[in-house]
Amino acid sequence: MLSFSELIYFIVPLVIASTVPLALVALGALFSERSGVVNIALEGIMLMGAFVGALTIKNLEINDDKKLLSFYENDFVPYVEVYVEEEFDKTVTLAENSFYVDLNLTQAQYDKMIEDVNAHFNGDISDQEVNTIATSKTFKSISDSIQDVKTQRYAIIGILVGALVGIVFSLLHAFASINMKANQIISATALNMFAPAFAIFTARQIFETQKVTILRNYRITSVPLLGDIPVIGDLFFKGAYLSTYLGIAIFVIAVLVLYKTKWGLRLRSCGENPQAADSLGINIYKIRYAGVMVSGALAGMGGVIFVLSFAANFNATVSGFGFLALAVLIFGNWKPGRIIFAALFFASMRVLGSVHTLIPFLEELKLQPQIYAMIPYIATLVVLAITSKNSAAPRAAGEPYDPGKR
Amino acid sequence: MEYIVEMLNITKEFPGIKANDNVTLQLKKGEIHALLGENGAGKSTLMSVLFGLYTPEEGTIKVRGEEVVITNPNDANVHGIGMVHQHFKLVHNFTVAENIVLGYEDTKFGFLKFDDAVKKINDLSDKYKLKVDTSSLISDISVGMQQRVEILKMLYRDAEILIFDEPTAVLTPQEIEELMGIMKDLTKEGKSIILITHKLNEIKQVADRCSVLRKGKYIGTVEVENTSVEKMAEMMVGREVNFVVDKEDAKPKDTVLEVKNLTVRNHRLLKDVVKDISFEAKRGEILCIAGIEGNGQTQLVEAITGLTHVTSGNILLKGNDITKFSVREKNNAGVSHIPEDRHKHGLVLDYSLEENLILQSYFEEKFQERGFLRFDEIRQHAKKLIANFDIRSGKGPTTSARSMSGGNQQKAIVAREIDRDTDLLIAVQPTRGLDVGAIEYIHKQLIAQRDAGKAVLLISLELDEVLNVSDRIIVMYEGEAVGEFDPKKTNENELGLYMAGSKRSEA
Ligand SMILES: Nc1ncnc2c1ncn2[C@@H]1O[C@H](COP(=O)(O)OP(=O)(O)OP(=O)(O)O)[C@@H](O)[C@H]1O
Ligand SMILES: [Mg+2]
Repeated sequence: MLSFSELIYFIVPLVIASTVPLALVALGALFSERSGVVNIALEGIMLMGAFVGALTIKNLEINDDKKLLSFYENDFVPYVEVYVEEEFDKTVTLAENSFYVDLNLTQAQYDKMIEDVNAHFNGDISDQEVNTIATSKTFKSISDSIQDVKTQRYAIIGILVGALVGIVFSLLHAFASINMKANQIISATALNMFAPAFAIFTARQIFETQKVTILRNYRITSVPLLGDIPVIGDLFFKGAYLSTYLGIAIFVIAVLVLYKTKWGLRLRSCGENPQAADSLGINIYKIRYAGVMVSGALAGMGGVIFVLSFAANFNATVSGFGFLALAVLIFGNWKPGRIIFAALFFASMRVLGSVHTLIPFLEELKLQPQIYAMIPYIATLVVLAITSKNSAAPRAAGEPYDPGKR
Repeated sequence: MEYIVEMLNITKEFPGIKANDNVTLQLKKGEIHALLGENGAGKSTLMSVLFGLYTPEEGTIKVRGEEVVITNPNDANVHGIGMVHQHFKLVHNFTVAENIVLGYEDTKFGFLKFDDAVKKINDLSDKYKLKVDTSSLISDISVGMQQRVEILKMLYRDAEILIFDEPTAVLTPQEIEELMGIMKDLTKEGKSIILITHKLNEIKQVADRCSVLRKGKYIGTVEVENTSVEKMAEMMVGREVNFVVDKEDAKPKDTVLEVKNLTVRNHRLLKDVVKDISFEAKRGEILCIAGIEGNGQTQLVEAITGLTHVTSGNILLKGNDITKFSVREKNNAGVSHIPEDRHKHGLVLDYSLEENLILQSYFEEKFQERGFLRFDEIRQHAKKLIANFDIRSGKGPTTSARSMSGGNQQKAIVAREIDRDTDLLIAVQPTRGLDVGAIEYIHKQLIAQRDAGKAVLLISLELDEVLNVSDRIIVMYEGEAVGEFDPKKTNENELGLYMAGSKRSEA
């Protein structure tokens, strides 16, 4: 059993990691609904974002590994072999995957070797990487340490790709519900059904399995400087994901846009009283498109963040996070501040459900594991039943805009 | 340049109806120009064309002598045209200031600049005596203030040509006085105003000229000063209108409705909105509950009709206690109700007219058979009511209620309720927003119901109506009945004092 403080240090980062995608996607839903379009396609959009984002990241990883491998085999190994032979008159054979050779060098010799190898490869690969290669004992650990540098870049690329995919996919919903005035629930349901099918089909075509596996670990062991702060550092800046911080930043920006800019003011008016907005010369269609696209972008990002934090083995599902985000939106009463709390609440429930073995009083209940897994969803039902009474749902959300209506 | 706005030969069609048929309207700079016409004559449509909400099929618009094309409100804005709509166009959960700047925002680095806006709003509101509280939410302010917000919205955009579509229908008499003053001040500043109203005395009071529409057609324009109220009414309706209601003296018989010590508590405001009220309504009389808006009349009616819970007291219909009945049980027991808010409680706006006409009776033998509706019967029923009550609409029984003009929506409700032929008819402000012809018609119907031996309970804010139509008057003030009067032995002044709470008779 962990001590209480260890438990807290373990749980809090987990809670934060699940709060962020929830809050982000719920905020996306808020943008869409406040503009007047109900978007229950978030689950599907998240999934699409997650899928393409994961594919992108995996591809980057593979490419990187390939490059590294070819560099290692074609340049690095031959050079080091020759170098060691000429310099120290020793024969070494560095084989793939078992780069463990005791070179029997003195520290001075070793330092010289690093320097020379560095000098030789300068330009092809950074000092740090040469250094890691040279000092690494196995190929695996070489790639492990090098990737730390590039990895976070891949995560960000993945998130951006997810956002883009989310936008494109959400355009389908926007077109159906804004231009064609289709029923928004049905159009969104169609997207929700399409997304997992598409992900499974495509993944099978490419990998012969429906799973998309991300190999690397995108967790940051400790944020420089901030991670060293006592307590706060342990709680918030250790074992976290860059994507989490990115999500928080985007959330803040989105809230500012919604409440402090002219565009945000107009967007909110379109979801409440589009007739009024129209009579003030605001283009309802444009605003609604924008609202849906923002929700697509945020949901797509949320999907990738979800994969990075919880689903290294992405298997064509985001575990209902998209739907949970809608619950967060409703529980959060369509207000960003309350959405954070709602997301925290649902995230805590989820974490409780998954780490119950570590928590003494929950463990003593000795329930079936499935029951613990049900906790977040049962909490959703209960909370929504209690709170949806005085909801501040945008009045015109879900209704196609009809200029003739009086 | 004599005219600031000219709308020439405008034609605008909706499915099944020509809402404007070759209409011409010319507005002089600095005048107040009244636009008069029956319900559904096409006044709002014409103004929506000028404001860019509808595009006309034919006709041209000139502003300051130049021909312009107005395809959306932005264009109207550019030409200095502003409009206060019949149904306000305000965002209920925005503040007053946000509503005013919406669509016309100033920004700095992309962020809204509210301080300057609030200052400009306050300046305007001081200048034109349009008192508003910039930081309140729209949902928290009175209808009168909402209207001031609408006016400020136009002024904020520096509009020169102001359109008021039935601004007075929802205001109290004091607020109407104020509004008239404001409009005069605005014309002194060089603004030009088009005013739509059904109240001819208002036209007499402020307007310079008056154009009349009838069934979408342009009838003519007159100088208000040289034209009598009767003449204007005749131009508009096409026949003479009787402003005095002819009726014989009431012959009250047995009691239909008895209200005993009724109290209704509002749990949100934590106060009693109806306090210990008792009265009886008898067959063959029109009992009127008078009072200024918001003194408990609405809640009293809601309690009687079952829309609100009764806190204490009893309601008896023909001697049976119906206090705890559901709305449908009350309906079936013999209560008809012409509600105050026709959109909220009177109609399902997205249903067709014929469906709206059977809202309380669809389950009766006549209209259904083993759970299936009998559409032929429903259609026949609608046709009968449309003919008897002269309900005008684009497509007859299948018109959607939403597309009907306000006055015809009201006629549909009146038709439905009277047709149900119950012992008690409750009419809450049945003539709000109606033209003089329709008002005359509804008053006649109420009297006919009385003469047919029904009890009529009329709730009205208009003293004219109270004095002309009713047989007995009870004045309500702050939830209490403060006096009972015979309309023949009282007058507006006396009622006014009781309604304002400065006098009360001890019962
Ligand atoms: N959007 C619409 N779709 C279909 N028909 C409409 C629409 N708007 C108005 N109409 C019809 O056009 C006619 C004119 O309506 P309009 O609202 O202009 O009348 P109005 O003169 O303003 O009447 P009121 O005094 O009752 O407001 C009515 O018969 C109405 O049913
Ligand atoms: Mg109108």
